[in-house]
Amino acid sequence: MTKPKRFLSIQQKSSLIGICFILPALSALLLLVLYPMLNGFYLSFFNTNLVNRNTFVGLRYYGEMLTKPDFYQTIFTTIKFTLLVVVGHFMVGGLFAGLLNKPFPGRTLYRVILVLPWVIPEVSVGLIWKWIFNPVYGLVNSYLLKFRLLKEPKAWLSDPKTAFAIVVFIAIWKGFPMIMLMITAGLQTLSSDVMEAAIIDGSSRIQLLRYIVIPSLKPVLLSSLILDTLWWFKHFTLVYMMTQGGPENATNIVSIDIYKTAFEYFKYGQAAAMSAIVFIICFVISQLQRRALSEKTS
Amino acid sequence: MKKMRTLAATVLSVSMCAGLAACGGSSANENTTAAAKADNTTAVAAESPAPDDEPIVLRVLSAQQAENPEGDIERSISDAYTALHPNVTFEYISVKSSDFNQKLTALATSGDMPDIFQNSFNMLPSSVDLDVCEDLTTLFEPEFLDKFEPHILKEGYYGDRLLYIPTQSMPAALLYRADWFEEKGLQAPETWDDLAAAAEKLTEDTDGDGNIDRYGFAMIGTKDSSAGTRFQLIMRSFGCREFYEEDGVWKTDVGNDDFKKAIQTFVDLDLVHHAAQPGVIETSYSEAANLVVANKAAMMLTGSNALGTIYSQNPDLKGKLASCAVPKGTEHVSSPRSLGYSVYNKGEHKEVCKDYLKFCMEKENNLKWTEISYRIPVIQDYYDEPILQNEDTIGFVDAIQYSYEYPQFLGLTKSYEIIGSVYQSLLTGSSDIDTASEKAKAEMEELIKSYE
Amino acid sequence: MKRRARITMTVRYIILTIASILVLFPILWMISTSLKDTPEVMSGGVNWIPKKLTFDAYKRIFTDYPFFSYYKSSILITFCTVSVGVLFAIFAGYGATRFQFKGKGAFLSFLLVTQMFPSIMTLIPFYKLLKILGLSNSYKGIILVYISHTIPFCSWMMKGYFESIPTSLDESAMIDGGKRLQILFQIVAPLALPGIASTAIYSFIQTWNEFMFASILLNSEKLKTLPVGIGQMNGFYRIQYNDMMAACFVASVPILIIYILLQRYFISSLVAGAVKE
Repeated sequence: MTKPKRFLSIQQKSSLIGICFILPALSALLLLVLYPMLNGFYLSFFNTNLVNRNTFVGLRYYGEMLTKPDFYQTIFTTIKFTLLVVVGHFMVGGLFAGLLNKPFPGRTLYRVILVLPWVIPEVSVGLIWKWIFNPVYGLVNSYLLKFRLLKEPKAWLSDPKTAFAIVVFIAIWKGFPMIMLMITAGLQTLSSDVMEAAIIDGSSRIQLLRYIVIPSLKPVLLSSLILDTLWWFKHFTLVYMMTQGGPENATNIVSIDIYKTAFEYFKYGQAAAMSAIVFIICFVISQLQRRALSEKTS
Repeated sequence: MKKMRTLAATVLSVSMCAGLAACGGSSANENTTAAAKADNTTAVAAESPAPDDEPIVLRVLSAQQAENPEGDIERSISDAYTALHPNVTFEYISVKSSDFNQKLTALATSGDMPDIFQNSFNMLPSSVDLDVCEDLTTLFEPEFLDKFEPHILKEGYYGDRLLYIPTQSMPAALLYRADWFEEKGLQAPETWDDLAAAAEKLTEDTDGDGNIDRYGFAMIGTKDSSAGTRFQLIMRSFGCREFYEEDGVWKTDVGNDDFKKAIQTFVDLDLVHHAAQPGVIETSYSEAANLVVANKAAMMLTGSNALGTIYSQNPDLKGKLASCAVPKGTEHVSSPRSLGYSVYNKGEHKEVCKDYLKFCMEKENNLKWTEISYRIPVIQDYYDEPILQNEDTIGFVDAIQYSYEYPQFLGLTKSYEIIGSVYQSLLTGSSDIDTASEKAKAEMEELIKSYE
Repeated sequence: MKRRARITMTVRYIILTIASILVLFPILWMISTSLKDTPEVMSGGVNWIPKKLTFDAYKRIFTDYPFFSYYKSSILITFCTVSVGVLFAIFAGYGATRFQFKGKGAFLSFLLVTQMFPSIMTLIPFYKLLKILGLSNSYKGIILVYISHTIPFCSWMMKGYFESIPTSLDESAMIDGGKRLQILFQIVAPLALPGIASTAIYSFIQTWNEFMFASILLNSEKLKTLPVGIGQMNGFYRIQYNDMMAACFVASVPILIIYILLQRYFISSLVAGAVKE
């Protein structure tokens, strides 16, 4: 009996099944993500308020952004913000991941407490901290006045320097648990044999960290780094709730700028162009990070 | 081959079904505009409607719904209308004030506009830009419109077209603690200098703990329209116009000497007289009102609705507050700061909307806003109500006569930011008055150019 | 040696305790403020224990504001989003780790690329899209939007977890005559259960807390979610801080409970399949 003629090889059949598995996710994304993204790019070439004004302006908005200092300032502020926040996340998250790595009495309690900031909604976090830093009724001023560390109430969120520092602090506060958890996971896959051997060999803590721990955590660190950077570069809610980008544009990160351009000045085309540029910057950053960290593969 | 196709189909359909089944329970709650589905707190069509009256659902976009008690007041009026016309029910789309623009745009873009939407003196330019307002002079008779207080009605006009009909006014005036003024033997301030002097005297440490807990003037210094419209009054009181039209061309007074005087007067209240609360540039209207409520502020530049906000949180203050006209730079100014409704120009139920809006203007309904929320009514005949003759309200009512004509320039929103940057940069000490004013002047001129 | 260990332990406790205080004090202040009456809130000061303890704020958020409705909406929307989103992610993760096909790399990169576009700009296009599909201002509509938000990262996570489960299991099952779907649900997924749990928790938190899209895409009060409700409390005309803090607390309670119950899985599951490149 002849073998039935196969239209597809086993390999091709397998491929097709694989594609079927990713199909639900893929179709959801194509429909629900690709369209808005492309629509966004399309809009960036028009001067539009989305209802009755739709004049084609080509690359005008891109040109404007690249020639005016304001946008550069915003991008610079955003980069500063993202850099400080992400570094903060990794330092704080890494420290706690290390401290919580080995079991000890009370570990679970600390673990639960230290994840709380991530669990609470951003809206709530923004409002609570804003309340705490309120110049007239806030906890911070009340304590500082009580202990005579301040002569008169200070408006923390009204001073450009302190406002920036505060939003960075709160962003670190909100986001470190995620990084802490990812690093914890990574640490726990570290073979304890290798660690033991190194300790017996007499390596110091720092050497241990540098030559064994960090290299094996690399994959985890890399993906968390890229994702964290992307998320906080595009961040909006927390900072907007607290300062709306002020004072003096000290905390005017790019998402807030885009929001204002679109929803307060009704310049959607311009906002779309800004978004397109943000997209390109994010893409470049993620590629740079990937290159920089993959080069040092052991 | 067939097996794979089946497999693919199965996977797809299983996932789709799982998704839809999980959400199937939600379809009962879905909102379709075709069906006469009203919010459950709206009066439902009670008795059987007249046989030839088709059920109509009027959709209303309102930021008042998100406020307490304004939302209830608004609903009580529409409920009363439904009681009279059982076939008409209302469906509210509520939105936060700060998200109003986004919502309006989203609705306009997707052709999902409601029949009636809230509009106000500072939202008017945006709605003009979106071209969604019906010209109400074609809907209402001149005799009806004549009943309105002219200054207030004027705010609804854009050129010759009446684009929104005001239902309430919140005229701007100076609100002050009459009892503290009396204690200190102070008179209601006529000029800004008077105000500065009074504010200084009223700023003190009342409980002797070494910290100042009472401020003479609650300053609102954010960069948004709430603060911006207030500061514009100060500018105008010095004769400085943010925008004006001359021979068909828009111009600005920003950057001139009157502008600098206005700015200096404003920021000096904090920097020189130390009469303002800390954190001026982060203080919004509600926070300033909170200060008055908490007995921490003696004066505030605001619309009449502040009385409603304050009394509802601290009823003890009744009888202690008074109002007077905005202090002079060179003249008294005010603006009605009205709120009202627009009718969607492509809506289907314009006649019903017209009937409803007329209903809103009836004495009983229009005065609901005054009794609870201290908004001033819009029909001239209603001004002899006793509640409008008291010490606290009379200043607001009298202020209406000083109203200046609101410039109907589409770039008004951005101007608040530009002007706001000037006083903010002086308050934070990061710039000086000349540099900041020059910068603002340039930006205003650029703004005007961008709209040509 | 022992002494050194003890010093290390003490330092560890000190650092962790300081960190815990920094984490807890805003939360405790939120609770404290929510239990005060309005005059006390407006007088400032550092009282942690309210002079007059009152649950009025909690009562008010259910009577003056429709918090029952917000709760219902949040629960329904989040549950649907997480079920479908995680299911799709499981499929995607399985497909990406068990099969080779052209475009797999592109698919994985695409997941990452979706994270790079500022979501603000997608607000209006989503609104238009839902209108076209006839789903504006509806649960189905917002659930679709949220599913699209949660799929990228969840798929990423699931891929990581599945990678740590050896394919030999699949192969031996196939030899025994098992079908792919069967293998997935009967063999592989149960092993990755902790990973699925943690993906579900992540998705739950992300969806429950979302604010921006819900505030624009949902028009009627009946459909609005908890974050939108809280945001609305930061009113234009009036801000009641104790009510707002009560609302913040009440909105966080479900997630806190779920997190505390499942945190065991969440952490140990990350062990089973640390997110790999």
